Amino acid sequence: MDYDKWIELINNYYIIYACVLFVTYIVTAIISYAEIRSYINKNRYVDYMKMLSFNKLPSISIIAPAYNEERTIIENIKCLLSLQYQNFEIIVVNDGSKDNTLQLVIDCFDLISVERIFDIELSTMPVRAIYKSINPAYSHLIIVDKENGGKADALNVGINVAQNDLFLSMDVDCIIEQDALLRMVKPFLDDSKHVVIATGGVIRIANSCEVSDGKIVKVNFPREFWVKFQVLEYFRAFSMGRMAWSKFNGLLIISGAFGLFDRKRVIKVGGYDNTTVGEDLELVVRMRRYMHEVEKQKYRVAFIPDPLCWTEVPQTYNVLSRQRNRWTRGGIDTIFKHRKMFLNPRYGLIGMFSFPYWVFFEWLAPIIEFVGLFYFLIMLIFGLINPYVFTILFLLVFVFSLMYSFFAIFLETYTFNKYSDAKSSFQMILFTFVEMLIYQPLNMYFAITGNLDFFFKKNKRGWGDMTRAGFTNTNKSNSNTK
Amino acid sequence: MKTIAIYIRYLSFWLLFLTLGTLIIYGCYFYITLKISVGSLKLLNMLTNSDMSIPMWLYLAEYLLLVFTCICFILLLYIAYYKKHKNVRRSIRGKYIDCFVKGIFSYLYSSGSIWYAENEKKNLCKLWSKLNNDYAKRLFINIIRQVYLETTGPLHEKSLSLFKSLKYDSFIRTYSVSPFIRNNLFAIKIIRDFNLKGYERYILRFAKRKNDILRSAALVSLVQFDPYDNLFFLVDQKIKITVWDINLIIIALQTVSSDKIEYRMLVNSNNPEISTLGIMLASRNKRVDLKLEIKSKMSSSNELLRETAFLAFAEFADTKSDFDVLMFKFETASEKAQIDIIKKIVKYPEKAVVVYFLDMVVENKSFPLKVVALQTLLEIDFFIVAKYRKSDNESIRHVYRQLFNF
Repeated sequence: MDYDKWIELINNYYIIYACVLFVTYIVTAIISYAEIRSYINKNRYVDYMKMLSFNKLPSISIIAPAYNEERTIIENIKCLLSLQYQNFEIIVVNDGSKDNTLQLVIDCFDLISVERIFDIELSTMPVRAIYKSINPAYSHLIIVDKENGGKADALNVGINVAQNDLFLSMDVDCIIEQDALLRMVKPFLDDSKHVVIATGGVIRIANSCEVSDGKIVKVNFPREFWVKFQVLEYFRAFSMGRMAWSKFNGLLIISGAFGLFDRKRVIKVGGYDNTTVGEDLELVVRMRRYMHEVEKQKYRVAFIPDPLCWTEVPQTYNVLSRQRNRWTRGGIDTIFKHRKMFLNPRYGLIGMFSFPYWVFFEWLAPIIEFVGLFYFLIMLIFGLINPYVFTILFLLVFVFSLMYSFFAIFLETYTFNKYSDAKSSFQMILFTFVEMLIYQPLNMYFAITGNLDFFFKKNKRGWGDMTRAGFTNTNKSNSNTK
Repeated sequence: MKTIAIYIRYLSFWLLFLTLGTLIIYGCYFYITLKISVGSLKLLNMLTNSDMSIPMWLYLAEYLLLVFTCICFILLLYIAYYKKHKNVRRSIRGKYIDCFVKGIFSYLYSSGSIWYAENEKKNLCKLWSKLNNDYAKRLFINIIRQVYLETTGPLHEKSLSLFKSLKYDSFIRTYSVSPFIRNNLFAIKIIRDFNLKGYERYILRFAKRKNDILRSAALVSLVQFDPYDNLFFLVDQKIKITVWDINLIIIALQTVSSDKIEYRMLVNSNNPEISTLGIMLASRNKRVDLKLEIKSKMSSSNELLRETAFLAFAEFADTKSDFDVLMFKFETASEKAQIDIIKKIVKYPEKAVVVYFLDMVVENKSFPLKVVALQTLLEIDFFIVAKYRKSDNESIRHVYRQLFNF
């Protein structure tokens, strides 16, 4: 094949790839819109408070691993204690924190060490002690102190200690809406056709929001530069991507920060995998695989579009890069572990669509984009591509990216409108323009370093530190938070 | 007329969507066609570049760029519109609520002559009929509904009388045939809460709809209207119900006399969810005569039904043979049911058998069961429990320590 043919082939490949990506994103956006609209219309008159007097309501264990969380831990536990539900327990697993996390909790909630036995169904690092409060108001709070073993290990300890039907896996730095459990458990109750194995919810960004007594009292658009981009990113990922995939029961990930799982099934599949840094994705994929291979029942992974969980995201470049690097490594690890599912009709829609989508548009996308960018720049420099063509293609991608982000902002405004002031919307729109030029190339860079680290570095399992700034607390009496 | 307007509104989104799609596709054709034919005339398309060296795909890229830019502007307009609309709506809502609450409470608390009260009522009815948007009408009805539901005595009666004076019939009918689910749900809610007659056919239709939320709301309404006939209806029509429905139906039946419910028919239903509902109702209303039927359901392959049957049977168990059955089938019960059985087993007349059974649980079962079994043993005899203090099995010693630790 001669030189020109090669160039034509590569060009054609990129055009086809871009077209498929465009079409997928457009379809995703339309489906998400229809789904969210339908969800809101259906649930408009649902009285969730009635659930508090239900006879058949699954019990829930909230499992919150904590590692060096002294800045936010008290506020977060208070938030969890005020959740509305009938039968639930809160298990905070102190994963060998090096700071004052444990002592703060012990002092604040009058905890004493107790004997509590549990079946070790998942193997974990040793548990040092279990604490319960002598104050009856905190009777459903359990603190487990264990040796450091990572988030997956801490969650597995929590699953061992838990005794309820379902468990909510969450990051302890999250602020959860009061009726979150009621909303999250509903799919488990109202689906007679499928076995619901897990429910995921939308996560929003809590940086700069005002928090009082463990509740978000005012939603503010973040002040920090990197966080502003993440707001847009979270809109797109949760309100659009995941919502659309859940419509076809093709959702592969439930965020580790907020997901409700069937405890017995999680134990059956062996709990969280502590050899990977993408344990949340890996668990859902493994559960799906188990349902296809072993139980062979009709099942569903549900998703709720209500913004029920607020979390603090990385504010600095370094923390952000570590987080994205980890996400990339986790994704690749899961893809390799479950490669058997790739384009395998035995796994239905998951094998034929969701998994290949993840491979091509989540894992390989940054690499393809990077190579493409490099390729077109070389072509431009050597005069192998017409500058007009280059400009048109660049503008096309830029405007498409703008359109997709605008749609996400529109969806948020049309539905939940949490950022109610006009200034926030203006800022969001403004940052959409900048995002394409700064944040997306940077994300591409993080993903590529993640790939390099995964394939060439020995320490593939490192998490890296996630420094918390703490919440903006409107309740000045609490000195434990910022 | 109103129904037609609602349908037009319902279809407008999809019509707009289709129009936009058609425009984009037609525009694409228009953009890349060099000569446009209008009848016998052939005009040169000024939008296209006559330089044929530009490939077709680039034309397409240019065109898409144009379309995406237009959509961006439309989206920006929409964002601005909804941002304003939501804030305006919030303030309008506040104003409406102020106005309605003032008017309605002025009528409800009018203590003057009957003529005065009637006059107030008439004014409110006039106000309602003059409201030109459905949102305000719904808000008005909702305030009356809330007063009606949360009060008793004269206020309750007066709010009902006010509601009945409104010309609600066409409003409810329109909402009942509306294609919008939210409208149907509103209609169901009003029909159910005010116990309105003459709309049963709509409710029945909703009960058979595929939409879970609508079906569930309609089912609960049917149960509240006439629990006896409509629990029959559940079996006759082979309606699928979910755990969500079971819970709502049980709550709805709390305010209704339980004597006439055909428990046996429900329990014997082939539908596991309906059978579960029947067992739960039987258990709540202490229908011990259904023990045999419930016992047969303890072997069901449906987990939910089996667990409910175990719990109900354990609740009713009072004879030696009942407990024998529970102990015999213990292994097939869910953990929750097993815990319940362990707690109930103390009623068994032969202490030695109970101790033997609980011993088996302590020795062989999971930690949660071990704990409950030891607690139960403690109720029987402290000295039996004491032997576990020095058990060879470390996990049992652990359970023992936990029991006496806290």
